[in-house]
Amino acid sequence: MEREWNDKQPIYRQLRDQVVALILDGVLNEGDPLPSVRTVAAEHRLNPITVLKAYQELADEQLVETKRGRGMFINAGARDLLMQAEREKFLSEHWPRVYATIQRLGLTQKSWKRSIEMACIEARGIRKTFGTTIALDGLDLRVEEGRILGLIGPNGAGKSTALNAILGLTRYEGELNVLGRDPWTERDQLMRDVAFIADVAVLPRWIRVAQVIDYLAGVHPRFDRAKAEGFLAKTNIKRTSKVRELSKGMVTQLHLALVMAIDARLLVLDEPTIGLDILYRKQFYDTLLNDYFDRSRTIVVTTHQVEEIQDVLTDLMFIDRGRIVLGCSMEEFESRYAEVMVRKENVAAARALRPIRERQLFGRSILLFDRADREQLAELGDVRTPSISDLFVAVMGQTEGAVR
Amino acid sequence: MNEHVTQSFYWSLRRELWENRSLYIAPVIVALVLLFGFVISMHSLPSRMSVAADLGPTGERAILARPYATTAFLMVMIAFIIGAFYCLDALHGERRDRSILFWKSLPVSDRTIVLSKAAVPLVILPLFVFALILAIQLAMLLLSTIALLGNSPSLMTLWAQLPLVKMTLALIYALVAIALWHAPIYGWLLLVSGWAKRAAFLWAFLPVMLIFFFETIAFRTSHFVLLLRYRLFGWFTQAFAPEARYSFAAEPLKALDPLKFITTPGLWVGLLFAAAFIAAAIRMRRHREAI
Repeated sequence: MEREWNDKQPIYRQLRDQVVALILDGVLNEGDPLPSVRTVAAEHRLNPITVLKAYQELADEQLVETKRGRGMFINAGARDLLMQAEREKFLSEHWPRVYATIQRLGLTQKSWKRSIEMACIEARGIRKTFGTTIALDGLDLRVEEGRILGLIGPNGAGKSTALNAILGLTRYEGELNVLGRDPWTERDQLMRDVAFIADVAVLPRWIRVAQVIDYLAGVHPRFDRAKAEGFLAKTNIKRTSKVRELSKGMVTQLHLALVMAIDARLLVLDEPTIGLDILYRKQFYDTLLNDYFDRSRTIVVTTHQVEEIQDVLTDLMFIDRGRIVLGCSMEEFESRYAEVMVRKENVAAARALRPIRERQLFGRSILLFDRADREQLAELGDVRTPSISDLFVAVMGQTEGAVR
Repeated sequence: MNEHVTQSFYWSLRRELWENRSLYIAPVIVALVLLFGFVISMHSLPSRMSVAADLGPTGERAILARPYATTAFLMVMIAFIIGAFYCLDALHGERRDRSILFWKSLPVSDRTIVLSKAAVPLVILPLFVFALILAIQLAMLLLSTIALLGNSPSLMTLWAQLPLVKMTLALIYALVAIALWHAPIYGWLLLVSGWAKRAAFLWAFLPVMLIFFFETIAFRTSHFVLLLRYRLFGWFTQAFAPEARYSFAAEPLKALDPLKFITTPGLWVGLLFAAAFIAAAIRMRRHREAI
């Protein structure tokens, strides 16, 4: 149970509400015992009488029953009872107001349904050509809120073009929806909710640190100056310095500090750490994860330094020749792909299981499998999760048509 | 929403001034040079004053006011050159150094950005040059006063005859007229700056030269050059009375002809072109990517 109490309601009411929430969420099931009054009182440092009062309320509402000598238990049908009450409460108190708003704004059922079901980024059949070169060839993409997606691909695969389309920097054919907006026609409004870093060197070189903070504070409704200054205080960047006077690593620190001070829903990073030394690269992702990311934000990142973000990502996409060739969550990645360092005597047996790639390391064969039986693999050698880059080489090899 | 747009516009204007410090440094340097020239010319001031005294009040005013009018005119010309070069780089520089990717990551529309850039030569520079001219003229007056301290009749004449307030009013009128008259030039330069991949300067002037050459060779006429001259200097004939060149220094207010100016089709056609060029520049900012 939560330990935080507010001053708006008596504590026993809050305790009661928490138990109700636990029942509704299915944490406490019908027939489960409630924790004893003594335990709850000790755990929350509450007066046992307060706890008792809360339990009495629940009993009065017929949600729990006392079994003499054994404590209190959730009643059969408690959940239904609560649900019924909650439904009635919603329909009589909240819904009329919501409905009135829907009517007033003239929202159609289609439009409000879409807003609920909407993903952070949704692309269908995006095409983009530069002359005769096809940069995006019917790209389909869906990114849910709260994910960290790594978009990985060889040079010229269309990564940057895809990001540019998402950011409203380039025109495209097809259907693209970012946070419910069309990026091309609504870029300026979209940018209230989106932040992006396009490689390292795009901060204007003539600007002073203090000026860029002033400017952002002036034009960006979601920019928090105090936050930016807090992040900068942890670095060696002086407020009076011009960007041209900063080292490459410092410029990245500055850009990251600015972007993290924006309360954005989507952060797009296009090769954010290119050309940085390893210390800055490590620090970059650490800061991003610790001080910025939470479940309400979405991050899309492209990079060539794949190993560094393997532990950071929740989702993975490989892009090649303007199409998504592989897309999965990291859990899926870990359960689906396995790499086996095969013992010499088992190599032939392992090859029979149709690996998607084989490579040699110190005279040992390392085979990469897709959807293979783990137990079977374990008999052949040491099984481990492959690195993204190994899988990348394997998948790209397949699409090139080269059989390994 | 509207407040946000105004705020964005204000900060984008400030941004332009942070980036382009030459916008105010260059005029200040020119002003100081002009002032220095005036200081050197002051050794002949007492003799000029005595010559002026023989010419009657109008001639006297003309001679006294001439350096002030000349200074103002030169400053206005400098402002035009600075404004033109500023426009030529305004939408090109940010693409060249890729900082456009940063600017476009902010919730500021292309329209706000381009209009704030257009406002620099059309509003900010004239305002700044106005203040600067006023400052130089006051400094000139102060220096003359000091130089003539031992010569009270001349000093009296100087203060009595110099039409400082009238000159200032005429200057305001001239600055507004020139800004409106030159608006299509600035608009064209902004458009080229937003369009050209490189050598914006060349792209801005090459078509003009080509049309000129073509016309000369094909038709042996020079309408286009006349048109250009009209656009560059036509404000003088359209906004001022015909005899302005001679009477401006002595009678600044009589030299103005606002009625003729606002009824000149050239003004309105020019503004129409300016609006079209700026609208096209906004489109360019949206479509063009970093170079």
